[in-house]
Amino acid sequence: MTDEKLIAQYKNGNMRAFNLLVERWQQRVFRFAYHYFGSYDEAMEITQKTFIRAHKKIHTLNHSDKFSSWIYRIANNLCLDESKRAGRRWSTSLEAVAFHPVIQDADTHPGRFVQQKELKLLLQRALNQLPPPQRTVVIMKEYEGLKFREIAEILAIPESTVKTRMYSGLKTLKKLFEQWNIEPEVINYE
Amino acid sequence: MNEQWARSLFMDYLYDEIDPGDKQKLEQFLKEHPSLQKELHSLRQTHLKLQQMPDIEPAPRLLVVESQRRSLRQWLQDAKSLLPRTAVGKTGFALALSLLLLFFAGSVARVHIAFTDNGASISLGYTPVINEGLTQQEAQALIQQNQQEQAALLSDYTQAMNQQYDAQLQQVIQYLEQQRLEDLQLIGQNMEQLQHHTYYRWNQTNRFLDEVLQTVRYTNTNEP
Repeated sequence: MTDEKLIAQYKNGNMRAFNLLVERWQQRVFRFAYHYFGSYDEAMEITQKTFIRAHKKIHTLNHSDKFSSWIYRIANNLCLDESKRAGRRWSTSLEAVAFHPVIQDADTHPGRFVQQKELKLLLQRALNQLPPPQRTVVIMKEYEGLKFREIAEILAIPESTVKTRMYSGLKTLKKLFEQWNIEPEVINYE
Repeated sequence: MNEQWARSLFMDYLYDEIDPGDKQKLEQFLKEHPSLQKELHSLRQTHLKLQQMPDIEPAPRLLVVESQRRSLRQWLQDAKSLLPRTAVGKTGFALALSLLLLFFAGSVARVHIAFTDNGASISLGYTPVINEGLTQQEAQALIQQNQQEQAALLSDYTQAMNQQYDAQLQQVIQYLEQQRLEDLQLIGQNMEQLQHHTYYRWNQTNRFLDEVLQTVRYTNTNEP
């Protein structure tokens, strides 16, 4: 059943339809928020708030076919609000990051699990250094697999701006990886 | 085509959203511009690094539960269904309701009902306080009892004070006696020392006088 049909059913009083929508979109919203903050608890809170807001405001959604953009927009706005609220926690200047990663050579590590954990921490740390507008675009593109056109629609900005933010984000991340001395072997470890 | 235009296509190219015609043009342009090719390569490396992010642990399933809000009409309907339907039930319910209302009104108006030897009294708003006086005999007996109690109390107090004074006096006497004995001992010791000292001096004087006498005698003997 499509999102549009579920929304229509919910508007007719079928609560189960909304729960199906939650079930369908929860992991995507959670994943987005998780990559945004790098915190399980924070992501869970954002996910809950997103669906609470969606539940309250769904009657204002005139175009049901835009539900995906709409739900991502809610999640992104909540992330931005939270980011502003606890600004100092999430924004750190590049110069202030004195980080010396231990991942340089995959062969020197005893287990893949440990390396995966370190890699996750490292990538998340890099993402957290990006300014929120760039971070949103990078996460939506890299981890949500959205098209530039879709991201532009969610953020209500021109597609060219999305690409510029993506380009700037990748440049910043490249600089960070170089600064942290991340070797290319990491990405070939399999 | 220039470098700026080529860069504007980097993101589309990297994420495979580029138009086939533009893709061909861009690839041709990159062959002629190694620096741009290098830049694109570094962006691709960064993209590949980001793709190495491990899967995250899925979140627990959320469930939205509709709140059980009911309108006033529904509440009234539910309440109506609880009312008794038989005549006996209705009468009992009315009586109970009347009693409840009576109690409620009484508590609000602060009704007070009191029964005394003179009869019953009903008052609103405050509780009447009935003051009953004492007869003359009772008053005298009370005064007498009070006086006796006061006298007994004073006697006990005087006795306790006397005992306390006696105990304190005994302590002072003992202290003075102790001091006297210590003084006598001290005087005795000093007298003894003085006696020894005097005896020593007396011996010394005698010895000296003996020596003087011997010297005088010797001088007189040897004189021509």
